[in-house]
Amino acid sequence: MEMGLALAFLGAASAATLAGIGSAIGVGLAGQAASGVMSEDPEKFGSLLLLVALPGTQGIYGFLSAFLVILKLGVTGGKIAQVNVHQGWQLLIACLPVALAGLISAIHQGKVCASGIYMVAKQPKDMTKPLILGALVETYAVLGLLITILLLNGIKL
Amino acid sequence: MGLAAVERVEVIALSSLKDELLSELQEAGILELETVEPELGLEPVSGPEVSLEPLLFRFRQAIKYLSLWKKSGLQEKLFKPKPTINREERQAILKQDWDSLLKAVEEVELKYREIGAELKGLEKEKALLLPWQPLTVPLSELKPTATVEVFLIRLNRSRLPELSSLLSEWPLWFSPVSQDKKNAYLFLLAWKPALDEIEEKWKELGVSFFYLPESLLKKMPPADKVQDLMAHLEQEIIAKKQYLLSLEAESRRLTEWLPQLTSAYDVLANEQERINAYNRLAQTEKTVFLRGWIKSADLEPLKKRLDPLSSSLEIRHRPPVAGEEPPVVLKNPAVLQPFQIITQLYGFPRPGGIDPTLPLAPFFFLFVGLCVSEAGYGLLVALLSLFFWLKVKPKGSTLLFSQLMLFLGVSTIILGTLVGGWFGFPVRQLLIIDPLTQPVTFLLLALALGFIQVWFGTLIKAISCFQKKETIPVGLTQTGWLVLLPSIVLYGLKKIQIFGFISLLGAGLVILFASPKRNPIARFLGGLYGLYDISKYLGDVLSYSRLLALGLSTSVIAMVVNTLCQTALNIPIVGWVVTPIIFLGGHLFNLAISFLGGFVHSMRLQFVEFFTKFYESGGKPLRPLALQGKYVDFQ
Repeated sequence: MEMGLALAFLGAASAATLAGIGSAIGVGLAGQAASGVMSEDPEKFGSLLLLVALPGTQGIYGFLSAFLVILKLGVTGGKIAQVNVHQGWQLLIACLPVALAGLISAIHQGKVCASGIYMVAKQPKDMTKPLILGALVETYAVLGLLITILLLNGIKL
Repeated sequence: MGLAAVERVEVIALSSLKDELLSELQEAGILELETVEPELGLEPVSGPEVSLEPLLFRFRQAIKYLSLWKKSGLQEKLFKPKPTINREERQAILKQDWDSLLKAVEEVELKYREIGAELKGLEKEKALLLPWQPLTVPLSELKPTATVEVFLIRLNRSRLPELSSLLSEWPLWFSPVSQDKKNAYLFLLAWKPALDEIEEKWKELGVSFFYLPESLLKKMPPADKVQDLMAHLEQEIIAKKQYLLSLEAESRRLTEWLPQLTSAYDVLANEQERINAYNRLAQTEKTVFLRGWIKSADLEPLKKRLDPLSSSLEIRHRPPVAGEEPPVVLKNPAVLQPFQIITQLYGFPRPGGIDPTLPLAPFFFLFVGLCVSEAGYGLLVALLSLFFWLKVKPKGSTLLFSQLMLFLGVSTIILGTLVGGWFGFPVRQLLIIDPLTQPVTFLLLALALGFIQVWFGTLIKAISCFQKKETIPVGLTQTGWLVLLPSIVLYGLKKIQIFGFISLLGAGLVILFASPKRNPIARFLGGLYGLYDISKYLGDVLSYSRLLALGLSTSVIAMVVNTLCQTALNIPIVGWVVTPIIFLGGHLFNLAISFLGGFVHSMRLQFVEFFTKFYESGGKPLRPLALQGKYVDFQ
């Protein structure tokens, strides 16, 4: 495989993988907390599900960034574009914002959501407040995604 | 729009009327009772001596138990309307004796748990005996003699050779009874005088001794072998299991009473609320006195309800005075009411404050549509909420929420058609911006919307500040920003000098009024520092870029699902089966996460970027004494 293409693949793979790892950890943290609460009160499943799902978005952002790279390279069509080393580096770097911001923010969002779940256990009516607090953390993943998309959009193959 | 007027109400009536008074008030459901302060020097009222709490507890337990046996599908759970109960039915429920029904449920539950526990115990005993089944000697005959002690022991299989090696040195003898994966079970004889030393060795080997539990010993005739005992246990287990099955059938049969139980629970819980309300009243020798808060619009209905009770009943009302913290009621036209949910989630406005429902509604409507931007999903959500609204006929906050979802669905249909697509397929003729090919244009649109909302929030703040004399300087600072922000943007974009001057004018206003200090130098420096707030405005507006990111992510995932479908369709035969599953599952998944994201992030934009400009929460909502049901609606 040519170096340029390899770098581009590394970019796509790191976006999906790193953001995915972050989400896996984040959802895991929230899921543990939710199971604990549900062991006392199984009827809370519906309201806790949202809080558990919230740190999952980073993984999806990473996935879709990877997919944008894949589309750009034409991997799904079977006819892969010519990528020189410079373009390869560009694609790799463009993927970093969503990968890294996603990785870290998902873990911290998971922690916020886990605490939020404990809050819902005691204050069942304040369902949305922890959601908003979680969304505050997610902002930075969204911004990372935005920059990744804009950068990818600017790369000419 | 805004807040409804709330008034203080006081009612004085003859003591004999207090029961009827509370019943009427609860049925009307418009008056929030306030505990009468002891400073007035009135006697406290003692309500009926009964407490329904123990009965309610029994109801809760019975409902919880029977719900375990009630098989209700998702459709029934989500789409079955609540039954309605009228006054006569309520009275009938209050008079009825529920004890026998509750007792029947409690007995079955108790028996079911008891037998379940016994069954578990029997299974455990059986498992305990299993390794000793091959033992052909009756257990009662395994008795020590004068010189020999008899043991049944368990040992880790890997230590068996070590035990065998002891045979040559010590007066021991053993015979294996059985083995499982981990342990060997042995019948062992040892010479009593050497026992102390042998036991030392056993400890090292990790030997554990088996004794028949007391409970089993009792069950066992002396001549029985282990396998007889096990057969006996097996019989018992079968009998218990059958009994358990009959109890399950009985429990299922009892679930037909569940609707009656739940309605009765609601009625009794409300009766308990009414009984609790007695504590809030006060009395003199002949009269009873209550006070509370009511919406001014509800005063007439209140009078209409109470006047027929007695001619000697006095209702007084007045607007709240300074120092009082009246509860808050939001008052909006029907079309805006669903958006009150957003306001309520953040917190009610302070009495006399601004209701942000109207200002936030158009933005929220627009933002969710932009974030989801998938007309197909919008259509699904709109249809589903419409169906729920018309079919289930929810009330209260559930009704408002279904209406809100209908609005958001419609918004998503419109904006999805304009800037997104239908299930991942854009309708090119109707597209005004294609976010995939023109993300920068979309980004500018998002930022422009953000700028408008932030500016609008500042405007509301400025207007509300000018209404009070002491906040006029704050209002002038806000005016400075209102002038500065658009003009500096225009100057930056077009480089026309006049806008530069206008922005300097705005900055001047901010410098002059941002600081409350009197000392001119301190005031000037404080004002300059106030200008630094521009970074906050910048940050707030940039935050709206999430509209693009979320909108794009929905479109891209929808596209991904369709690409996967295309790939799957190429597989012969299997493709025809798999493709619809991928299409449906993928789009439903995308719908769920994009609506969750769209809702939460649009709400965040209201709370963090918009409300911080002007909104002060901290009011408490009016909570009238009313009939409220968890399982039923009251007529």
